[in-house]
Amino acid sequence: MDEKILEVKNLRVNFYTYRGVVKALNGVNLDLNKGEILGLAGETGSGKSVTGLSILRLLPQNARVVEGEIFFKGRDLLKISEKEYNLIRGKEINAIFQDPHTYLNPVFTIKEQFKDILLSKKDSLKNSSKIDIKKLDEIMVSALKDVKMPAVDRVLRMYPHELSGGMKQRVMLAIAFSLQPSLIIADEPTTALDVTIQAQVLEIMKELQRKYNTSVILITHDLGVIAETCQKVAIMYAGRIVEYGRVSEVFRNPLHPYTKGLMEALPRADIDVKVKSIPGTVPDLVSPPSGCTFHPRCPYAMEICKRQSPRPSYVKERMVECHLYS
Amino acid sequence: MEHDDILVKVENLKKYFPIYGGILQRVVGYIYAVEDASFYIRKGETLGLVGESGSGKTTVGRILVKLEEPTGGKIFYNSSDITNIKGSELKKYRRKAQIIFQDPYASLNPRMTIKDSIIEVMKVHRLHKGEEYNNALKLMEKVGLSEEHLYRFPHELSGGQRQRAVIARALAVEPEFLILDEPTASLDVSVQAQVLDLLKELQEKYNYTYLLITHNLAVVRYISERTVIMYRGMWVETSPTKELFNKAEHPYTQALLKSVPIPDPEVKKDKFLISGEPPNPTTPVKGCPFADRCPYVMDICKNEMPPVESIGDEHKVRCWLVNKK
Amino acid sequence: MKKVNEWELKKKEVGYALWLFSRNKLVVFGSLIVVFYTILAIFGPFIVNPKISEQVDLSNALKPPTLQHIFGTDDLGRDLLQLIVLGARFDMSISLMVVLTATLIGVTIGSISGYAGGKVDEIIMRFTDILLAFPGLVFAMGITMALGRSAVNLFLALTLVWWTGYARIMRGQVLSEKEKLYVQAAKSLGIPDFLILFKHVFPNAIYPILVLATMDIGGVMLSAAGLSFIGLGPSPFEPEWGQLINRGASYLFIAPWIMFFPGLAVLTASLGFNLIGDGLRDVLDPRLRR
Repeated sequence: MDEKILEVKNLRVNFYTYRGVVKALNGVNLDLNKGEILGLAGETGSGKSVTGLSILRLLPQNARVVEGEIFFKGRDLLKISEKEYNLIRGKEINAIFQDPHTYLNPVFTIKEQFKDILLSKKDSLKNSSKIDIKKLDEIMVSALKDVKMPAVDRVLRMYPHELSGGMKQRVMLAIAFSLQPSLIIADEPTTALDVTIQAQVLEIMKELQRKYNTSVILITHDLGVIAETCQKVAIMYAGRIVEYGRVSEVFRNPLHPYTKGLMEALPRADIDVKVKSIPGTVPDLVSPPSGCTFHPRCPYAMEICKRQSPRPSYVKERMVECHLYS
Repeated sequence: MEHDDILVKVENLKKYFPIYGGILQRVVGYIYAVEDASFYIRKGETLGLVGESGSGKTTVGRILVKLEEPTGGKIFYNSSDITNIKGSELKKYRRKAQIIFQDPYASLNPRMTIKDSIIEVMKVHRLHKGEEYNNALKLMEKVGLSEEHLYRFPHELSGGQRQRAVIARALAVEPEFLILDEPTASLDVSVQAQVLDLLKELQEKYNYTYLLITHNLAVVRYISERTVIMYRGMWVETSPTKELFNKAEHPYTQALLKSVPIPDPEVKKDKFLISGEPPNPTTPVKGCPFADRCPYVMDICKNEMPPVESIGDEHKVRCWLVNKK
Repeated sequence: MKKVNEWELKKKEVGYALWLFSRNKLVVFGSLIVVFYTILAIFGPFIVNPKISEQVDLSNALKPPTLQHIFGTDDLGRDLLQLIVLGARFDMSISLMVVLTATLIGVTIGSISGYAGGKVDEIIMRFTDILLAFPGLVFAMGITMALGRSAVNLFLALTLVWWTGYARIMRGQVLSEKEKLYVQAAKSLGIPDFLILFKHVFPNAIYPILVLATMDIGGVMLSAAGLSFIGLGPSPFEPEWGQLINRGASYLFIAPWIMFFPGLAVLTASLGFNLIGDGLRDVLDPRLRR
């Protein structure tokens, strides 16, 4: 039996902007097992990043969780105090973002920053048998060796700007995995990188994930990355997960019309395909369409789709939210 | 070997950007952005120019629309040398060659409606006098937008609509040659397909010639007939696209093809990962630019520039391995 | 094909701009203040007999606020409320004129400097640096002292001090806009340089200056009052707020109202312009729209 590590239940998040209330998440349900990589895919504004930020409790000032629960190892992350969460964040849950610049401070060397991060987790590490805080240097060196960083000693003395994009992202991976967290949220970790570098970074991430049996939520718009990296995939559209299941099944036999559309819209580098685009654009989440939010773009839209939003239907491990299957 | 329906021809294009330093702001070095770009494009054809960041592909595009002056090399358009044209000749050329940038939002004036942007271009070139508005309408139809979009500001359009508007503006001068610099990189997957199909459709109808600059091999495979692969400012392989994807000869091209994530979990790729990262562009290339990442590297690669080898109809490679075979 | 009604669109646009402007309560408050002082500036001399500033009535001097003189009287026995109403015209017009002229000069010189670049830029910027090196108010003091005490000289001094800031900012704006992609796109579309400067670079560069200038009106008003306070303003019988504050200073402890009410007028008026500037920024930034 798989051990459930994260469970998101009916999560709703609103952003309060001058344009009005943006309903960024409209009831997201998500399960994640130990040692699993889940791909969270979707287009701009689908809510994939917001989901990640909600779990990390790093939502911007103008955003609010209006409903829902996020259970991590049995505790509701939304109910505990900031102080308690700080013991979890960094040690139990860690994050990797698209742009390392927003995370690495330009005026400190890699070593100084890495050390600070480890020291800030001192309290939560005291009772931990995994890591000895007296051996910070060793932890840092071994973490960087884990990510196959060449010339580790030199890299530790460098400033972020002296490293290339790929190297910076490796440092981020090293920091994220150094405390052997149970969950890592990787938000577009390779989007800014070239394909040859992306392949290197993804390979390292998979290796570390297997080594430490970490659960990973990989947020990306690139279905190719998901197909090559993840076991499960959740397809998001307009603040909801419209389809969820094993990567092999979802990619072979997409059920939701949106997933189908996405797969058909993708030109491929390995074979010749006839690309078919999805008409229309992503809805405005200030005033989303009635019923199923995808119905204005859906080729199979029925009368009911305009009136009623679909309930999730389950086929074994597969979940799909569409009236076609209910 | 080459045919007379060639529209654009680029020979040994070079571009070095000076680096200024010191108190006196003297030139202390160069960024060797483009070391050697050479290719030709036939009328009505799409040539893909592929490379990763630092390959110099964008600089080549900017030189072709004369936003940069080349340091060396020659550009021919319809067989006439346009490398150093100025004044009225340049203005004439600008009616023929247009560029579409990656970021459609940034390439539109944020304080002008789409209508004003398009009509301004027609006025400058004295096209459709008195009929500017009607012609703008026709352009909108051509790119799949409607009249109401004419009155929108760029921030009132979605990403895909903006890129369509930018294409409409470029078409307003009635060009023959379009340089597409990552035209879909900032767009979502579902919208990317719309724009790609629009570009294809326009080409079929009006016989435009495209230079597609991109890092996305899937997009290249989808719309270009021939492809040039660039690495560190230098072309390393050029071939008809089909052939390139089936039997790439240059180790870099092979690595690139194998690194692209394929959206199909059943495709098991033999991993061919190359280590390292592209070299620093502030040191000039000596030998093969790919030498320090190449798994098949030989001594000669590090010291001598590989010669150009022709290995098939329009398939050329610059690699010592091929030379030695 | 149905033609889009342009007039309707314009109306909607203006309506939206007004809505943007007015959704901040403070901005509305600021506008009300400015409207109020503008009315005073225009109609003041019709509401109050302008002659009263020359009518000295020492028997009525230094009277505290009463029903008859709501703001009290000054040391010459003139009604303070009436003087403040009359003073609005001078203070409002000098600050508006200074800012207008300074913006005009600054924007022109800044644009030339930024767009031309090279030697021209170098020379102009060094010159403005020199002017900027003097503390503004001291510099203005020097000029008025050299030229003599009059309203025109006060205007000249303040304008001379003020334009350099606008020139600096305009140059920076032009430099940054010049590099933007839409300018490059315009270039590659064959749009001639002067059109790019006037239709693309200039309109995008100038908006931040408009906001700044609006906010500066308050600052200029304070400076004008300040100069006038130290006796470098117009003639003593010209009703002017700074002048009144100046007179009040001598009687601060026995008749504080003489200083207080004109001071309040200067403060509220400049606050009003500042708040409007805030609202203007929201309206003029296209990225903040929709």
